[in-house]
Amino acid sequence: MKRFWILVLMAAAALPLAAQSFPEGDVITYIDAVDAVNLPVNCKARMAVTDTYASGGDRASEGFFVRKDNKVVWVATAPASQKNFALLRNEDIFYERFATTNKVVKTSATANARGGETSNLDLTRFNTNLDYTVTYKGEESVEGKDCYRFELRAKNRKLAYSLVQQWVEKSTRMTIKKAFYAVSEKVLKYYTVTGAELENGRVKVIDMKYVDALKPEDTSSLRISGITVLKSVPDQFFTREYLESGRLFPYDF
Amino acid sequence: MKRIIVLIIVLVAGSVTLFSQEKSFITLTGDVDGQVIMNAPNEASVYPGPFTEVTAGGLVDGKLTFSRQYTTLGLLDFTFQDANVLDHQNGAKVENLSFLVNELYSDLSFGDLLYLRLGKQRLKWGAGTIFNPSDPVNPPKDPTAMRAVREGVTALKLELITKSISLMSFGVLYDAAGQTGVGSKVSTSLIPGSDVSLSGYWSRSESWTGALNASIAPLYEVPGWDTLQVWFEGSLYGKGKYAAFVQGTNPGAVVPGTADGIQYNLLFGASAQVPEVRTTVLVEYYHLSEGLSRGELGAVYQALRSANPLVLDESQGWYAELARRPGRQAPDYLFVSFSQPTVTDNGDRVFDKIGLTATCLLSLTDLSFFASGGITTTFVKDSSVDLTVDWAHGGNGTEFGNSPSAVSIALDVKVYF
Repeated sequence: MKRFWILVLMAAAALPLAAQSFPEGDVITYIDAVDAVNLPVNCKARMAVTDTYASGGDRASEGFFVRKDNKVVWVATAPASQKNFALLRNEDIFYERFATTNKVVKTSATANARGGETSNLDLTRFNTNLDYTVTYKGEESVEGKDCYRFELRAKNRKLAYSLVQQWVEKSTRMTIKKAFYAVSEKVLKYYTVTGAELENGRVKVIDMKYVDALKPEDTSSLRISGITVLKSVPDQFFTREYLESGRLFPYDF
Repeated sequence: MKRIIVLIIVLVAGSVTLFSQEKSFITLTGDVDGQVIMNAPNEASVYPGPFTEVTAGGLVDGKLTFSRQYTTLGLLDFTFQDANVLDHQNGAKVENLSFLVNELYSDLSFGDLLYLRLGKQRLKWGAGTIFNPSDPVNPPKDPTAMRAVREGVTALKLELITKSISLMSFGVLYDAAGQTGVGSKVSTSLIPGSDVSLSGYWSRSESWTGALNASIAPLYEVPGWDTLQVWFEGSLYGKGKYAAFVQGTNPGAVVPGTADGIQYNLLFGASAQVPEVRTTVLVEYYHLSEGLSRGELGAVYQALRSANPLVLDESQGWYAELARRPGRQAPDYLFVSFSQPTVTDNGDRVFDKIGLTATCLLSLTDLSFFASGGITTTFVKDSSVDLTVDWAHGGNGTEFGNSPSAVSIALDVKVYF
């Protein structure tokens, strides 16, 4: 009986360590705010991706995207042979449009239509709470910056990595590092923010570097710039028919 | 020609109005293609000459797009070609310059729902990769000439696009008034994981056509298997598009007859990408009710090969008829395609820049086939070098055994802009 009470006391003492309370209130609300710092719910922006390999070779592509919450359409503007290629995410469904023919076919979330370390998801995921259950895991320092660490567990394995670790800088509410894990909880890749410009508490330009955890010499540098809030975005932009009509055109703004 | 001039006037007038607004652009994209095509004649073919052995030249495939921000207002899609046919025996050259307007249209939108497109345009019909057997609107695709330019048709198209369902209505204008037709399509992705459309078309000369298209990704929820897709197309039409097999008066002769009654086509397809390797495998099966049986096809080719001038003379009509139906002469076809965007995707300096394709169209009726293999290299930025080899093979009484060209090799050097 004495041993039982000792165990109960130990368990009670360990509780705060197991489920640390988040100092800034509700975690879900906080993560929504973190997402909003990176990218407004309705917006357009430029995106440039450069893949660099150990062999010394590299591959670059550029485009712009239009976002309406969890609907995103990404249109390539470079290289010239890929101009007009488009990737559409309409909630859980993905389509791609071929550059030369305007033909639209269904594609998957985990495929990487443009190659490199960035999957279709990486190019179009901007709403964390929709795809993950988020748990606060304490405070840590990343590259000298005070951060909160969160653990993200996939709600739907098709649409997400099984486990993601996210570090958010306390002072700016910017995500400065994310690590992506397989079902086996082995780290697959991670990204760190290598540079950012903020304006009125929101990101204006952000540079990220994706690293293949298994081959760290293979990286993808992703730059999002020209982030512009849009008052309204038509739902039609995110339909297969609109994409196939060719109306959404490579746009160099 | 008159129609083109009218369209250009409409486009220019529309553009002047629209360009008075901010952020309008004219953008030119496309490629310059220097090419050499060499053909080896098929000695067993029944088709008479002339046969082109070597063609060398260049073409510019361009799209001039008028847009406001990311929305198109109009487009001119053109192909300018300078083809030189070379005679290997005496070195003579015949130059042929051509300028083809593939599409020329203006776009208008009324709010965020209603869209209007007027001009020469391609109207989307059907799901077939190499051709759409039920397509009553667009110029027919030739599965043995995939390099051929695809022209649109002059049409007025009205689209209502909502987030759950889309409606399209169109009217098509051809040279003859009797060929003018109207059509509609309703499509939806409301059923999870599927895309379904129902199309209808009517014209006085073509009668009516109805088609159902459905595509589904049955394992879209399963990681690793989510690229698997299957599709189906079924169509009915009130009047045959092609001639039926009829015996001639001379023994062994054949004449083009009239196909009676309602006809139908079926298409089943599936595709998937092999994980890690990234090879896309695509398989399609076509069934065409108007296809000729193995015996009928053999009899037609035998008649056209006949030593009896009376039989040959009476059967002449089949030359044009067979030429009208490439990949449509028999009832059953299987198409298989393998495509590899790049051999590797890990930064390899050589294999990351080499893509491969292999396709085969097999007539299940007479077991002849048309196979094609290609290699694409992209070592220089914004350019590619493509080598394609086509091979047609089959017996004397088979479709692809009578292709005018047995082997064709094409080399293309493209610069994109």
